[in-house]
Amino acid sequence: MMILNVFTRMFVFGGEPWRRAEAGWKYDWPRDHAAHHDFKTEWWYFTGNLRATDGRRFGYQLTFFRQGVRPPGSVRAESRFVTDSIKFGHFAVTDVNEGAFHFTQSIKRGAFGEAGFSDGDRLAWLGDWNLELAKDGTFIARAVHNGVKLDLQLGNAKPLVIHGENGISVKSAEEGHASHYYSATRLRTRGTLSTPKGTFDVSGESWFDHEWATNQLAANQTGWDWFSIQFEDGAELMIYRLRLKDGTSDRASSGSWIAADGTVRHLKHDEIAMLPEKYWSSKKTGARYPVGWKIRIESLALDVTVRTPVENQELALQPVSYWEGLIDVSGARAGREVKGHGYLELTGYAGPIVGISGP
Amino acid sequence: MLALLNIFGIALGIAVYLAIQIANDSATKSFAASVDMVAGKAHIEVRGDIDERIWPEIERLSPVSAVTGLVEAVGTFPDAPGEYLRIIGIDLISGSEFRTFELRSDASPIIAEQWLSTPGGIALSRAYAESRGIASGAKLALVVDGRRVEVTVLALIEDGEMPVADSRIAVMDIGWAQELIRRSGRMNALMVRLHDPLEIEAAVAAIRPHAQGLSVAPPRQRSAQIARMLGAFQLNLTALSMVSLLVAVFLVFNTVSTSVSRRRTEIGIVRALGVTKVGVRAMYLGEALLYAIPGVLVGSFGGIALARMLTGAVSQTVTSLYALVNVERLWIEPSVLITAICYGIGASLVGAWVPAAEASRVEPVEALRGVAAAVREESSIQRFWLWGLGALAAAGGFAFWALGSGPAWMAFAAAFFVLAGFSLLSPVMLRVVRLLFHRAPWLPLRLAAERLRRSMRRNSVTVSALASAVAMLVALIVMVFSFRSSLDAWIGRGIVADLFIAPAANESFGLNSYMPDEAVKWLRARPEAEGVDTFFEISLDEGFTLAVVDGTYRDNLAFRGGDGAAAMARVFGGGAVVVTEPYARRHGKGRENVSLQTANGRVDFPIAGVYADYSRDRGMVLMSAETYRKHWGPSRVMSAAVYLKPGADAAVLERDFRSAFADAGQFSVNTSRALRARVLGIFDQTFAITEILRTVAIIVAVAGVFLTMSVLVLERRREIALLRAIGGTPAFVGKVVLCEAALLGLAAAVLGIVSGMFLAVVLTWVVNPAFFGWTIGFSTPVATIAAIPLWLTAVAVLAAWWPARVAAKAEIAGALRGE
Repeated sequence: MMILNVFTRMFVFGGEPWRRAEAGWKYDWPRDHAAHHDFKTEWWYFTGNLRATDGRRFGYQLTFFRQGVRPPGSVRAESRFVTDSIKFGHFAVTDVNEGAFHFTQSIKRGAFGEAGFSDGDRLAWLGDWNLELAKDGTFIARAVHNGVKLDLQLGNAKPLVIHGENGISVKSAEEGHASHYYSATRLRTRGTLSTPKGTFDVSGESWFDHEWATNQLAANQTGWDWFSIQFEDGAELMIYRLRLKDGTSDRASSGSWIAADGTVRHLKHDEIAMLPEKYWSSKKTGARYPVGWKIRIESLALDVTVRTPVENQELALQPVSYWEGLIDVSGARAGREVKGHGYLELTGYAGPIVGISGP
Repeated sequence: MLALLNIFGIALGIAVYLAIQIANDSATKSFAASVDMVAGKAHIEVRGDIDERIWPEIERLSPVSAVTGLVEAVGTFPDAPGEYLRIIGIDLISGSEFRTFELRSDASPIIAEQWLSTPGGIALSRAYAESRGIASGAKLALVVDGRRVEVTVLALIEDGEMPVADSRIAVMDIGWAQELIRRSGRMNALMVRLHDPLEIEAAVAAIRPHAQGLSVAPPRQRSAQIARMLGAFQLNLTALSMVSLLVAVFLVFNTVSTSVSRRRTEIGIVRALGVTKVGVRAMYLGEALLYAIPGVLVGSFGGIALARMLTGAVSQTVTSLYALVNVERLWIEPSVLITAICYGIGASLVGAWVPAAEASRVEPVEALRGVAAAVREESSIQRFWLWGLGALAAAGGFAFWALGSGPAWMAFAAAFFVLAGFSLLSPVMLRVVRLLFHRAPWLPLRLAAERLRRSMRRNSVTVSALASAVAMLVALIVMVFSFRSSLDAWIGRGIVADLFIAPAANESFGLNSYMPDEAVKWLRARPEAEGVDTFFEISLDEGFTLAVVDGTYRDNLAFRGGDGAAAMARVFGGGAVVVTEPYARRHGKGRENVSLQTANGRVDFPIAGVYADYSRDRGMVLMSAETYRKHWGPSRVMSAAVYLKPGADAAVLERDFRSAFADAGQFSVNTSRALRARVLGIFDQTFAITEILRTVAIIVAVAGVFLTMSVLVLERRREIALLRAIGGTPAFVGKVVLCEAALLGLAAAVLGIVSGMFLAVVLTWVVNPAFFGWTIGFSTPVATIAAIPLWLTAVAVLAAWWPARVAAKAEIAGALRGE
């Protein structure tokens, strides 16, 4: 979700040329699927659980980021290399049966149109990575790197979910740190996936986040732990904890509960209890990630354990490394046993996050 | 004392040799390092005036794994003449795989957003920023392509995998660099990385169709090309430095001979005690070696110190003749050091060989008697003049060969044989001097002349050593003077426009900056301008320069035969080209066309004529702007020549131009007289290195005189004592010694001048055409040359002064004891 500002330190300009996320945003689709160039950062974030016809299990992550460098209305330049935004993306595939994790990053300037956002059907593209929105509302996502190739069609099974309250998702107790954020919490997914082990027809469930903001995070935050969970009974849960420098979590940490019928309930900081239980240490970066959790939400009578089928799902990248991976969830809700799967994102464990420590 | 002389001779010889090698090496290596820094880890480099749209085309080729572009320019500081920054526009995003350095701002990684959004944002090398006291956030005023621009320091360049080789470097974002130099759509280089670095040739072949008219090659090749270009220049310097080694050989010969003759008795005793001839020879060679060691040590340190002085001159020369290079440190290769040490030891052994052989021939009995040596000496040099003439004949042969079809190094063989030949003629020279003075009316002079014949051999070597140093001096003076005179005549004819206007940077840092179009348009629109000729040039892969001229021919080129006006009419009207002499000599032998890679493939351009040019030793092909535009696309302007209507005032035009386009320093505007002076100034700068060599030659000459005189007096102690014993007063004896010194100085000066003139002939008529392709008219600065015997004789007398005093006052009995 929130690999935000990873390449830039946030500068608070005197005249604030970028638009900030403010309460009262009226969402409108398909308009809001497209890019919002007057906000500084934006991403389209897909994660999912897939199974091949032969039973192999996979997880994937495909993300397109837009990092604005020049706000709309900046001086026009003749050179095509003077760009308004950096385009970058992350692509990862978890092969559960092989215990393998493939990941890569792509960064482009888009000087020759090789990367960009919102052009006709294309929501975002980055070299030969591509995200399209078909007329019928189906997403088509493609990415390829080093023999790992993903080609998926994703259709909405449930209505889109707007997170937060009054159109904004607040990201800090401090004033002015927020984003506009919605999700497609359950996308029926099918397509093909190639790995070094072969090419597979796959199907499963995906989660899509689209978020845009300016100056979203506060200076005292060191990282975050974010969960998206799809339960087998048709409900979904999204929760995040923003960690502060003093070790506590920001009171702006929150979440959403989406019932099987699509009704959304906003979860506040005090309702959510998240306890790390199991750790995995990276040899590459030396970071120690909490990859096993206990989550308790009393207001939902929810008590689940989070485990990962593959511990090494670290995207060891420059300049920011983080852990983003497939998880399995099991436990009880309202006295009944529940199971599910989802994705977990852990940031700020492999050294300070470039970009989060603002002035 | 003898030991010291020996050591000094070797030290001087290898110091000069080493200094020149290190200075040359440093220039080449600095250039290579600056290539490495920007070319970084690229496997292939595409260079030229590049349309940026080929970037994605090349990126899509299958052998290619990554591509990044470079935009380059030179920025000068309007308020600090002589200061410059090499501006390089890079793409941090696509370039990450290529980069060899890091950009940091306040110790944290560069802020990408600021980097990409700040017009004129640059990163400076830490060394440069610190040495100039420039802090992050500072704004600097620069002049780029004749325009004043402002840049902001955002970050510092830190050493990455390689140290930052050239501190005068400013890196900026490629987009803002294009904006700064107003070159949207164009690049200077594309760097390419391959999936398989071993498949360079296949990849070059794949890229070439997309890069018509551009150079496609591994970046190393560019360094190699520069090294090749510099080869001739550096070989010249090396050859000159070899002369100092030759002088060292003579000095060693002299000191060892002296030592042998002084110790004939000892040698005889040693031989009588049973030491073999081989043993005696080994003793003397061993002794020479022993002295060579401190000589080599002192020479190495001296050479490194001298190199520090020379690098400035060498890099100036390289910049004005070949490519912008900034030597910031000395590159001392172990191999160069080892070679110098070997030369030092070799010179010692060679110098000591003949005297050691002579020592080995001393018969025990003969030595104890102490006679016959002189007689033998005399006879052994009887035939030297024959050898001398033989060497001169060889010199002639090599010169002829070099001028014909032989390899260029033949020219240096010719130069060597000239020196060797004249050195062998020194006994003849001494005999001539004796004949001239042995009937002189003044007794001390007569006596001195007569004494020249005694120990003729050692005197000959003394004269040879001095004459070699003098010859080097004379050759340098004459060559530079001849070159300068030819150049003077050439610019007198070529530089005839009323005003010459160019971005100021072009004068000091090579042709890297362009004139803005508005400035040319402005000049052409002026009513008092009768015509405006514009000029620009490109270095081609093939190793020569393409010059593009827009204008009309004004009979300002010196054509070698043929009708110049007709040739130029074909250039301006018929798509033909004219070429310079160096081009004709190097590339164009017997050819009628110049084949060039254009944007539309190879095209043959007919050669309409050959003209004299001293500006580019690699050769130049001149074509009209119209022809250029037809085959390559838009042409640019590096300088403009303005011809005024009769009665118009150049000063008025200059003033108006300056107020329309420049605050101070952006353009250099010169009248033809000022430009001629500047061109000669650049020439003098180019030959700054010869100034230093000249100084070294003088030092060698003076030191040589002093050393040999000291040896001479030392060796003659016995004779001097004898003179005293038969009634010579100390004053009389002193006079005789001084006269002898003067005669030797005179002989050396005359011989040196004659051999130096021949050497100059070889340098100007054989070496220059063979290596540079320039034709130079031979002219002699008579007064300067004529003065040499005067001051050299005076120096010889001065040098002998103290030894003469010592000799005159010497205690007679001690010196005569053996008699």
